Amino acid sequence: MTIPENLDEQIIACIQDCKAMDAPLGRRLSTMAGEVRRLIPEFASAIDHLVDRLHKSAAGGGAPAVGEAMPSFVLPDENGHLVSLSSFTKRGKTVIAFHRGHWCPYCELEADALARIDPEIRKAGAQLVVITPETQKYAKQFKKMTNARFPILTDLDCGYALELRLAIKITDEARLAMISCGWDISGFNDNENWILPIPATFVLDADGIVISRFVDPDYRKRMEIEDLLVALEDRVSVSPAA
Amino acid sequence: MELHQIRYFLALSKTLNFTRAAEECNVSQPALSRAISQLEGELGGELFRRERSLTHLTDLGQAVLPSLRSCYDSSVGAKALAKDFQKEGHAPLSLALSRSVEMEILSPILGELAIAFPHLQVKMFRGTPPEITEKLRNGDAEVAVAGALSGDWERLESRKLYEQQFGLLLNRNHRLSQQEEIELRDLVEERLLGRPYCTLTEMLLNKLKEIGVDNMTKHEVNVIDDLPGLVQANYGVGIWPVARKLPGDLLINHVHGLNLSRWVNVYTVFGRKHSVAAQTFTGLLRAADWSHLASAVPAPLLEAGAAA
Repeated sequence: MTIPENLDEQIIACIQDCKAMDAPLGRRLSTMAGEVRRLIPEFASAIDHLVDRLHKSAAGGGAPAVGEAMPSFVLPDENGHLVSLSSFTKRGKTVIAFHRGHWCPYCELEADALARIDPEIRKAGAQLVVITPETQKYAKQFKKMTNARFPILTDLDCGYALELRLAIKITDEARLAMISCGWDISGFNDNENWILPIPATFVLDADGIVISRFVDPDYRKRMEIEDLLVALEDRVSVSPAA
Repeated sequence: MELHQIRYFLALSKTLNFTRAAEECNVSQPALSRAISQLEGELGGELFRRERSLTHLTDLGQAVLPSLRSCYDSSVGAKALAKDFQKEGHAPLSLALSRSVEMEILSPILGELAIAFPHLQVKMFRGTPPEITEKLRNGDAEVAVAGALSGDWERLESRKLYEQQFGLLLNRNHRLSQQEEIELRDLVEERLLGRPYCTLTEMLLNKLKEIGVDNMTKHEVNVIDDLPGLVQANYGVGIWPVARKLPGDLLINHVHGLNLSRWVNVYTVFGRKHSVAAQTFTGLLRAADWSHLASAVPAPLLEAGAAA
């Protein structure tokens, strides 16, 4: 695989450019994906293979659907305090976003977009929580990078993600491609499992029932911010992608 | 992936027999076969070679087994914690700790555990590495937090937590206490307060041997908290964790070119069923941010205990 010498810097620059774009999240994400494909085409095609297979096997399709109850969880936040799902839902509507980690450009873009609408979400009496498989050290970094005020919880070894049918195994081809490009996640997740969550967003009502969701095994796609805000406004579910 | 697919996969990898695996999982054999095929579809290859009398794991099956098991175990643990969180009911937890692991470091995590399990009942033991291994082996301890345990038992599962930094513990009126930096050869005339099974004591003695010192006077002290008193009484120098609170008029310094540190790990026994409290404790330890301890390197003539 040919890796441009200053890949790191170019990726970081692109993330900054995308953050600064005056465009919906989807456009920012696709711009990022286009730039990654231009910089490291072999990496992008290894990821395409993985995503194709996940689509074919309908991975993530069995995640909690609109109208279903979100299974409860108790996970540590970035400061090591255990928090439960009910501690959020008892205060109102809750947005739960599964992210891959602080190292993922798309997660950074999404978390950045979420952090920007966080005041609006709070004003609506709702709350936001992000779950990643990363340990607290990296959860703290993720918060800092995205100026997030919402908690970032550690789902160690993707145990909760597996319960939600969101855990996927990164195949050897994709794993080697990720390592070549500097995305070696084992240190962040405290394991050598190479298992990650499918990024997904769930909007729950105060009873913990899913009122809207977005699940796509293509990690370059996320719930549009507009859709999320609409879902928080009323009980009508919008554009569940899978 | 789905929880039940991995459960079937684990059962089949153990029994290597579709009929018996299906029985073990309480499902029909076609249901088990279908779930395995779905998993194979998602992972992009066969997990088992299906031969009439000899089903066995493929290379892919072998390769994914540990990570799928780890994810599965963690999922079962996460589910159990969500169910038992802040519920009534006895929650026993038996821990074995190295003598030099500071309780201050564990106490925030034990605090979280006490919130999660109001009826937590802890049994705590401190001892030497062989004693800790024995406690784990015979089931008296579910979890251990310790430096390196002897690696001759293949069922010991360990995870690195943090690097524990040590320094040389000196009396303030000691001849070396005025030195900015201590060289190894400065210790030639010194008496060392060594602890049995302490890998750093051994390392220091070996380093001294390398420069031709093989008859260093060594006291043997079993309990780490006896070191400060003996250093104060001018018995010699000791090896002391820099983050540990310290009474008395003592100093910690480092030895030039010598990295006095060791990894503290969390140990469990592979294949044993762990209590929810034990799983939660292990998970909290692994998820914790230990980076504040990595910076606790002793500065020259550090005020004892100031790094804590």
